[in-house]
Amino acid sequence: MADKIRPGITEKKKAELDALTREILQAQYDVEQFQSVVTSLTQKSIACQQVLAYSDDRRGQCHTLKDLMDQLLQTFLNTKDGAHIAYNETNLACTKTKAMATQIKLVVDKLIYSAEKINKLANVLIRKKALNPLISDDLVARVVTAGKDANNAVALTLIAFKSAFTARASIMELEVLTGFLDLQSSALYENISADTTGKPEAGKHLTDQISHAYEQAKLQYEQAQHAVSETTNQVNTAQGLLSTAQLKLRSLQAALAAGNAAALAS
Amino acid sequence: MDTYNENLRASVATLLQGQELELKKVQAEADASMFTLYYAQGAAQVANDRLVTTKKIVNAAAVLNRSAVENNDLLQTNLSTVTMVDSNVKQSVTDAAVSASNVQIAATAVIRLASDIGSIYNIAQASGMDTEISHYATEVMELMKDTAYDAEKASQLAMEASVLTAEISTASVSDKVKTANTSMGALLKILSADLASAEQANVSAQASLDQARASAMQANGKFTNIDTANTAINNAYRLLIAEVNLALQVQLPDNYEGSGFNVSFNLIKSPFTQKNAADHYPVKDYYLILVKDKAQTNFTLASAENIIADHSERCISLSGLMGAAVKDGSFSSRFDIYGTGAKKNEVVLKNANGDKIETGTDYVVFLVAILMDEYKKAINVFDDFISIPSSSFRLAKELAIATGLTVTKTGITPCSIGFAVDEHSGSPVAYRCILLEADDKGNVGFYFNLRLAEQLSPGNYTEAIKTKNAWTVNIGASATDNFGKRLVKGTRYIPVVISVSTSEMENLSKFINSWTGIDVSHSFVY
Repeated sequence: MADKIRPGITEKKKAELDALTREILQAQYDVEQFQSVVTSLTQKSIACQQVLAYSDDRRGQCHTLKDLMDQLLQTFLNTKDGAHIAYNETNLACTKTKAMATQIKLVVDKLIYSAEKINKLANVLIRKKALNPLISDDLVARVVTAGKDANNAVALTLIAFKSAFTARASIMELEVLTGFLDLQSSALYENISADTTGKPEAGKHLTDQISHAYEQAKLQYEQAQHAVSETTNQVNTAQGLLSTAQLKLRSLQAALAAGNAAALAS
Repeated sequence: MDTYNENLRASVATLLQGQELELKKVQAEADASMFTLYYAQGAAQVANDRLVTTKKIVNAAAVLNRSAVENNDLLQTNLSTVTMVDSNVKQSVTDAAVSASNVQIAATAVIRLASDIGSIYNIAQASGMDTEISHYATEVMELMKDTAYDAEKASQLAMEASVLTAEISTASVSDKVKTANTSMGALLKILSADLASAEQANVSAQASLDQARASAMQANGKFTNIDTANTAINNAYRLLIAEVNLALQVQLPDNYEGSGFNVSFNLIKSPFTQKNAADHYPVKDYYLILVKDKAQTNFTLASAENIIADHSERCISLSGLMGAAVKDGSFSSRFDIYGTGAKKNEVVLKNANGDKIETGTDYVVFLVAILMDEYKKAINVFDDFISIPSSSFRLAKELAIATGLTVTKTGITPCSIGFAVDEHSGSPVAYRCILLEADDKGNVGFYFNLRLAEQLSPGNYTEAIKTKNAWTVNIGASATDNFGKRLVKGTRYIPVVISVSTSEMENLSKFINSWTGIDVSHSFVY
């Protein structure tokens, strides 16, 4: 009986060691498979990270553009309001200046007429004084002075008349210019600001275009983020499977080494 | 075997071996060039995708740039207007101030004249002047009162006009326009830099595409050549077998479950026609013997004769089939490895070693012919005939193919693909969904087959998950097409599902992967 048992045990040992060797081959194969999965997914993950980094940059750029655009829009709005106010102010000043010029013209006309009458009065008085010496010398002297003052007043009024019409010309030109500025600033603001009528994404307005670009960049960034988190999960899962397979391989290798050592020792 | 026949057999074996090696070499080259072609086409697709993207970026940048330039033109007009306004305001303020002052001076002079006239009128009244002087004095007095009043009014108006003119505030507007000009300049600078770099990227993308396309064209040319060579060598090989090895061939059915194979060969004929010869002269009995591919070199006529004599279960006697299976001098019949009746689930076919034929192992077939005694006597050679082994073949089970692919757009993931499959090969299976980009008509512009599909890296396909009785593929944000390109909204894709055995390494050869093929009817727009 003893003779039959010995070879039986050796056979059994060998069979166990062979089975272990087969398992190791399988475990090595598994490790290679998982390793290739991890490598491929890691590459994909790196590619996704790159896309994310690019989208982040792009999002940043678009944000800068949008900020700049918001500032610009505010400035344009202020310009529009300011130009409108300036136009209204000019309009008021212009109206007043026109009234003033008209008034001066009236004064000039009346003064010249009055001066003629004063001259006539002086002539009558001088003629009468020659006939009647009793007429007051003081009166004659005053009429002469009045004649001089009338000349002076007419001269000064004419100067005022000229400068009034110069001022009127200036302010009228300014009125046209501020009116133009008002219209233009308004048009520029309307042209650049958000479209309230149509679809903003099809808009021809710079604000809409930049907003749209920013929204797109944000969306792309979010998608890239999703892709990154998805691939990260995939890599982690694959890494976990790989680790398990590696662990199994190491323990099988240890078992085989121990088995071989034991077989040789016996 | 006698020396003549041995020499013939040795020459034939060498010939066939040489051809077979050549065939394998060309097949390997064809495989390699197929992969080269695939990757070259992939590179071209990636480059094309990049070009499409860079073109889009260029267009978007151009639109922004154009808009900004248009607005800037308007702004420049505004800037020149505001500059003119600035200088005109200064002029108007000066003019209004001068006119106010002059009007004031004139008014003073008018009032002084009025007061002169007032004294004259008083003196004339007091001294009891004659009626004519008194009349004139009174008249002038009235006129001057009126004029002086108007002059006062003019002076008032001039002052008011001057104040209003001075109040016109364009300095802030002018500052804003200048600020806007600076901001717009900054914006334009960014936008034009964006456009320039987008154009640059577009130019280099175009160059890459040109290069990638040229490489793909070359790879395609090479693949076509090798494929042609492959076909030619295959034909030559078949012809050679026909002429020197009785056209002995083992064929596996197109769609099989690893349960059988077909063997065909040309019957042996005597080199000289014999009058009144028996049926199938000079052969008495034909046998087929299956030998493991690895053991074929050790298998000789002696081994065959030994099997036929002592182990009839290890060979297949064709005697019973010679009627039905023979046509025009050729034999062709299917052989099942399973038994019939009660043994229908048991493998009964055995190889030369007496082991049951198993799936996943490579075998060759030897054809053995026991020659008629009269023939042997006639040529005075008493050996029987053994063929050169057939090409090796392997029985394997094909995995079931996914059916009923349906694409659903869901809220959680961009879309999901469901399918059903009836797997009964006994292998654990992974179902990989691959998305192929197609044009609007559903044409895939590149070479793709199961062999290529099997080699895809895991990043480029999505594995299906089993939910209850159905399979689902969730196409997520990170999903790509077969070349690893990110999916593009509005693009048509054709999903294909390949069934891949995930059984243990040593069992892998027992199964054959399968796929749905490229079916346009499954295509969808992402």
